[in-house]
Amino acid sequence: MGSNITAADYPMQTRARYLQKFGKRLNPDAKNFKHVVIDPRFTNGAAKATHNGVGEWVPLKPTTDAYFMLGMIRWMIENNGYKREYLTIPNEKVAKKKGYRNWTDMTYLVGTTKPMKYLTGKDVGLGQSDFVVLINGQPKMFQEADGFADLDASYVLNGVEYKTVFRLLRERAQEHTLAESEAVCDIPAGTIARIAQEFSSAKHPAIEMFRGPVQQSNGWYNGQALCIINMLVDNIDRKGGFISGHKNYWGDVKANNKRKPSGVRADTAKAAYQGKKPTATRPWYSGYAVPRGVTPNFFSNVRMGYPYKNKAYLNYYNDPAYTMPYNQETIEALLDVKAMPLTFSIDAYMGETSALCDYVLPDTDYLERVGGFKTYPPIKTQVFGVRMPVVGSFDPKTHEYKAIRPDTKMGDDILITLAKECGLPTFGKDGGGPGVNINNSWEFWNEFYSHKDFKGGLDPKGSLVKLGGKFQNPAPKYQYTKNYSSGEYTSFPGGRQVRVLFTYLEKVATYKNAMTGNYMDGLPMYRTIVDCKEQPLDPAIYKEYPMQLHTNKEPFHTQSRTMNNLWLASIKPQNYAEINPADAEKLGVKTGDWVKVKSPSSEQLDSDMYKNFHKHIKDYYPNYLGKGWFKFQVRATSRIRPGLFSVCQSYGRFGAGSPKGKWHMNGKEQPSDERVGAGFHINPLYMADPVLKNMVLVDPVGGATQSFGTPLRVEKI
Amino acid sequence: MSELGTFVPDEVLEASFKKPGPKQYTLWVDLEYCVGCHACTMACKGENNTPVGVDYNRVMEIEVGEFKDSKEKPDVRVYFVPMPCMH
Repeated sequence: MGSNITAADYPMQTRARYLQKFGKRLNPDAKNFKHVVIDPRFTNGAAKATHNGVGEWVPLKPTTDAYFMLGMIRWMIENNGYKREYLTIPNEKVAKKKGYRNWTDMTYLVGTTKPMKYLTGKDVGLGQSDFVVLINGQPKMFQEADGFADLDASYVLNGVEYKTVFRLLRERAQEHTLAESEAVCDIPAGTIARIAQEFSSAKHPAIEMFRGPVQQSNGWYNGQALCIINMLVDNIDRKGGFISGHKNYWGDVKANNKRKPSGVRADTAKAAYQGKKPTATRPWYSGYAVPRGVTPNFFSNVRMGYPYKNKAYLNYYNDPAYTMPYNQETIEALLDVKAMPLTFSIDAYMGETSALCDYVLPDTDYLERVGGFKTYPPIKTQVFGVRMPVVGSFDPKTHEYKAIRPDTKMGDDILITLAKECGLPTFGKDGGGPGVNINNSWEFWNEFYSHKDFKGGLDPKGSLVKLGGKFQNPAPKYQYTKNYSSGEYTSFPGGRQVRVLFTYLEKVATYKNAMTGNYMDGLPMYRTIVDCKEQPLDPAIYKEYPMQLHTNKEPFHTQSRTMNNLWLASIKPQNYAEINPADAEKLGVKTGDWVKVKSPSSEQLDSDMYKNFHKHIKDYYPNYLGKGWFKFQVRATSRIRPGLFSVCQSYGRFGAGSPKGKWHMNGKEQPSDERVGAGFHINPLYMADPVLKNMVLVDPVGGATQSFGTPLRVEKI
Repeated sequence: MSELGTFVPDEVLEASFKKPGPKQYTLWVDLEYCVGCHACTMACKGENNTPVGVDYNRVMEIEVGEFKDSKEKPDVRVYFVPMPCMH
């Protein structure tokens, strides 16, 4: 679901190989293997899925994932399509007795008054703060249960009703019928029931995702719904099931006087609202659901001086001026001297963002550095890759890196130099403890590779450097364990062998949306696009803007780091706005023709909000026509569902060597190549949040941007 | 692409191997393995050092069928056909 398998992910080859093992016609399981691709675009993965004549493409309308998945949950619950015994296990003791490794919170009781919290033993008078389950209608501490607990039940205590998580989930899923969901998803009637039936009756069912369902304003709940579907069929950490946990090895640089960040982050993420008024004027994001921060909120906050004014900005190998949906806010912030008075960028190329910064500190290429790389989900074993430069050289004594290009330094070396200049502890002489100096990248990583899971540091004769990393044996006999009577489990469940899996998320349910003051919901919701106040968009917008923005990715491009490679750029020299042949007929256009397009908020480009960017807009976006309209060249293809306007997100560069972003060094214009800037870029077309007006729609729970589904108006030129 | 009738059955293949006389070698690409990543194009380019815009090896993307009505089950197929340069 929304997973561009074979064309994306780190590394894409791994999952492509897994897929081919099943789909290949000579494999004995090929005819039994059904790969269903739920995606608005017929991806390369869908091309492979349909090859054996069994697989299927479900062209879901973007943003409607929640309706599809909650519809599946509804069908599975109503038609006994879930593993009842597994879901009624209340604790580890019963799980072990019955031959399971993990169990769920489906039988735990949750209050029905907001904030909806788990019922605790203390509340019932059983004396502890742990979860409570019902055994034949009587409350009991979850850990004291000897057998299965009541699954679909409720209990009244002091006039408040407490329901099991399963009942809450069932009631949530039953808020809409399957027919209603299918109408929202715009798919043939009966699809959800058929897929749910085939899924729940399969020998090894698994549903997985990548960015598709989660990079949306309802992304958090979509991801949660997908995990719940896997839990209903008991396939978490199972052989042939859904593996949540890849795990990497980890080292450490030990020091006693390490500093920790404190205060409120500039993107108001990872914190509860701390203002004095009852509600905030800008969104805040929970530290539980948003572990990494919210970049679009950073740039919008900075322009408004919220919650404080920005003094300096250091950009490291990131290109938000190009990659950020609704990037006019990013560009305007970088151009506005009052909002961002001092800006630095560490970058290997003169990318769009670096070009707008005051100082650029040239980095070596990303491969040309000391460091490490953790694993990503497709890798089932414990891994850590060691990265060493190959072009430059190290001073044998000081281990200072010497680059072959003039004036370049490895990114880490720049950061360590800055840290030393700022007098930060844990750097410089004795930075890593007595006798351990941290003066450069090599010394840092040598120390990192000497602790915890590693030893020996960057010794060139050690196995770490010789092998290029540390790798667990991936042989099949080490990958699965048969110690459980209910079936085989993987040996790599993210580091924890035994665990409880949570359907209901109390930490989300007890977090308040700062802009409304209302508690969020602990279970997935039937939602499409919502704004920062969790309200749906005005339906009138869809009437005026009937098409939907959508993006796609080519297997041979990243977003902002490959178009300046002319070899890769030559595979497909430009991108097109891909539309369905039905829409092409409606618009009266064919492949190669031009259309103009605008979004509900693109007219803001001409307003005072973006007056600095507006001076450059014709340079950066030569296809801008004014009044919010952009022109695009279309390609009609049945690989896109009707109603979409899909653009590959690697083209239309105005930096990194494109003539659209010319730059000078020592008064001399630097070379550029028009092939780098070919094609179209769509980020200024993203719809701004109708409440905030200066930021792309962002998931109020999980902090993800609404990466597709922006309503668009498309007209023939 | 077996469903399009272009699949060479194993016995035909085996029989051709057993034929007496001089051998003519060919390159057999199993299209079920091709995911359309164009890495072979880049590998050929690296090996033959061709200028930008000149590719000996290419991958064609063939789209079969048409999908225009979202209320009907789509019947679209896409095939990736690497066209090796044979150098």
